[in-house]
Amino acid sequence: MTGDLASLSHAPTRPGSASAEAPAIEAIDLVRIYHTHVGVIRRRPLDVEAVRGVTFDVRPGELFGLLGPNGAGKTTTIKMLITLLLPTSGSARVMGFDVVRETTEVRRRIGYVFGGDRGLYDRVSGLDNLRYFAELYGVDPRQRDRRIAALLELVGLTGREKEKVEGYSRGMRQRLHIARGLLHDPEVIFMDEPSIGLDPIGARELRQTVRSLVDAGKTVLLTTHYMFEADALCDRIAVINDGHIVASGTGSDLKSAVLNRTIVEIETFGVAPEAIDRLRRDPEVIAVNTEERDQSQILLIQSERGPEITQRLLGSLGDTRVGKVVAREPTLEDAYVHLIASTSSTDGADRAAALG
Amino acid sequence: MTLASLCDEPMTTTAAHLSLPPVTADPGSLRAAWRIFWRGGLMSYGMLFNWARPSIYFPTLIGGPTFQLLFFAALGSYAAGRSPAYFALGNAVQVSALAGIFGMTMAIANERWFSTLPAILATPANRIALFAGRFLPFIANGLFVSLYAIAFGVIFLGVRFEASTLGVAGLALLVTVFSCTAIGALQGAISLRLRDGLFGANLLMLTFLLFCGVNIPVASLPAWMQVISNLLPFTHGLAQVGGLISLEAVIGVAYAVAAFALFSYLERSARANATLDVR
Amino acid sequence: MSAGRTLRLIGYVTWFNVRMLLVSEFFVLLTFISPLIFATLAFFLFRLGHGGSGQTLLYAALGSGMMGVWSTTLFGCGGAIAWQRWEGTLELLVNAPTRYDFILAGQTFGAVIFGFYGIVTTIVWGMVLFGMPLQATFPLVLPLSLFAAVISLGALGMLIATLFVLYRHANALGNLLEYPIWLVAGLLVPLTRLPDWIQPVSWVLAPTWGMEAIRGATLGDAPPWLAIGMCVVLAGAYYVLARVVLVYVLDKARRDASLALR
Repeated sequence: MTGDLASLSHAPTRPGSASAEAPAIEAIDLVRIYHTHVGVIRRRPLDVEAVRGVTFDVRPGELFGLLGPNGAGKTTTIKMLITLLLPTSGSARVMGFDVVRETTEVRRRIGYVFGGDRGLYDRVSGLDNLRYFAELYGVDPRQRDRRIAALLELVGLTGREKEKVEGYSRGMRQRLHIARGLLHDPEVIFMDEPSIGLDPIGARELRQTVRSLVDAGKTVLLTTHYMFEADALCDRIAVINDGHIVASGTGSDLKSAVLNRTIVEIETFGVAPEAIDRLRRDPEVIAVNTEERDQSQILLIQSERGPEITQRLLGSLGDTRVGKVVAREPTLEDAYVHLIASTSSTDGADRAAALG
Repeated sequence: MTLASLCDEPMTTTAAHLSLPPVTADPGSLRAAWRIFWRGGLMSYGMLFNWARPSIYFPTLIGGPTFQLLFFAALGSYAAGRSPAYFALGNAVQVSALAGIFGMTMAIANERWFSTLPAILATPANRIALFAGRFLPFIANGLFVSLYAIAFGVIFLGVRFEASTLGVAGLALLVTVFSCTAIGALQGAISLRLRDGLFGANLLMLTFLLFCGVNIPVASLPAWMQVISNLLPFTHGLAQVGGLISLEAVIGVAYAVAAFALFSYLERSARANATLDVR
Repeated sequence: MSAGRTLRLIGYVTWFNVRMLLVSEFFVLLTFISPLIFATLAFFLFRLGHGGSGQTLLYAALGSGMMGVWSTTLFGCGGAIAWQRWEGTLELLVNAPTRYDFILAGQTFGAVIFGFYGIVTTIVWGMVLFGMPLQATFPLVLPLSLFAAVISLGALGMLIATLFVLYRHANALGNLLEYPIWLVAGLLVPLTRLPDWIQPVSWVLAPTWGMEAIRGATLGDAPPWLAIGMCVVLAGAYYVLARVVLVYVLDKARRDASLALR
């Protein structure tokens, strides 16, 4: 085998000597197993593989999305990258520094934004929270107050910063998390489901903020389980399910997997399992997913044929009561549902869900 | 305009949105460590101490100690036939541990309560400075509570000091408050892995009452109890003799080092075993 | 609701609460360990001053045990409503079709009965480690004394539970009220050694008469009929007061929407 340039670029590089190709984040075959116990009386040890060999890299200045359902291993992956958890095997580097051994070097270069409304000191003001973490990150005290004022402006908390955090709404807490993650002007920013609990307007403002960080040259890795968010924001997306990366690429790359298909949505009232089985046995049907609504079930049928298959599908349903019927082109959501459905091992999903 | 810039992606307008002033952060510097120790320590008091508001502070840290002094002065003088001043002084020093032990327990337990531990552990902050800084407010608080209680004893319960021993007594009090805060830190670190930190904190307070010469002279305890007495903070500090003060300081430092060692161990094992809520 | 159903309800809530307290490390410390430490302290102190006769030791053991009963009552009942408000179950209980004061009674009696277990451990501790004799001059009156003490402390617990709702930091009041009641109720120091002006306060406190009733039956020269009677009278008075306060508190809570307030 001859050494080519592409394989050389995977060699670890130090900052300073960093070439444009050196990844900002590099994960190589990351595995994380949790040792837990099950049972109250007879406690049996149980190993849960939360992350089962994840490899990806993120280029400097890139906005990279980890997309997956709850319990897929997104948070565990992030916690390994930000030095809070040791990988069971595999390795990872952030700005060229090893996340296992060079923790201080990694920590001073990264910002970490929690999802959700925990993780703040409720009894003191938002300003005090920021000041405290500014100290912990060693922010130059002469620049501190101007920096904090600008960050408050950025996240829209100016004027509310002297109130105690216990009185903050979910959205305000989430924005305070973002300001905290940016205090020390990190080169790489990790955001774990940053839009969770935000109202639609807040979520849109968040996406603008994230976008502007990337425009300012930052590298951002964010996790989300909202397809449209990943699609709208991210340069590249990796879909993670059951501890594996099941697909990666741009939003349109992912969509191309289902590009030639037609999605037929059929609203049914009390569809029988046998009718669904009949649909699944149809040689021209690739997949059938059902969504339960209040009174009805929506059948999402993927096919490689055009909309003309609709009649035949309705015929297979027999005398099932049918409501609205739509034939349409696939969306990223369909690609996502397809990826997740085709890669889930049921017991693995259960165990992962138990991990939260 | 050069050709290269033409080939680039168009400039986005949102870049103007992010006009953050530049900032330099050097968490490895000595100055950063000093500020984490001094300013961070003071800030942690308001953030983490449940009793840092007047409606709880006064009943618990002023009212409680006042009645404790009165109770033991009455009990001791009735049961043991000794001067109330003896019991008032011992308890006035013992109440200084309230702030140290409960404060340090809360300072650590509340990091879990607020789920802030992962955020703290993800910072590059100097851990020794972070840990030692948390002592400061509780030492100050313990001194304040104790000085109040001593003043109460002097005014109402006949506690007297000779002018010549005031310096030694003051030094003994300072060292004792430090060593109580140190054992409080150890107790807090232990409680990181246990469910109910208040159990340990309350038990320590009760242990001091019994073992450390607060109410019963150590010499009149059974020999096996004296062994415990000598290993606890307080016992030597309360004796107010020069040599014993330094022994008290040694005990305090030993507890502080043990607490920091345990804390560091827990931090390392948390990365490996996904404990301390870092998962 | 029939009397049988009411008793069954109170009994069930009592039992439920005892089980809740048993798994709380804090209450185990308060009820079982703390009295042992105070008893040991008192044994040593009484030995220094009085030579430690069997009578003195029993006096100290009973007093220390009663101190634990008071602590458990104070924290168990004082926190009862505050804790449920915090857990979000208070709204459910108040809205249940059952009279809330019965549920509250079960909860407070649970705490008080739990507290009385502490006296037993204290006495065993004294017998095993300090050679304390177990004696009772009026063994037949003792169960009556214990019963009187339980109902008066339980009723006081109800009053505390309702009063503490008005103060957001009930546990801070708990911290404040341990030592003074131990002192003023004469649990380890006779009331005669306290200033005269405190005595009226002692007379309206359940622990004073509960202690007197138990000590009278074990160490006294005459059966403690006065103390037992006072316990019953106080229990009635506390209960009436607690009902009045409870009506006010629940009404206020509904007006201020503070039942679910944290």
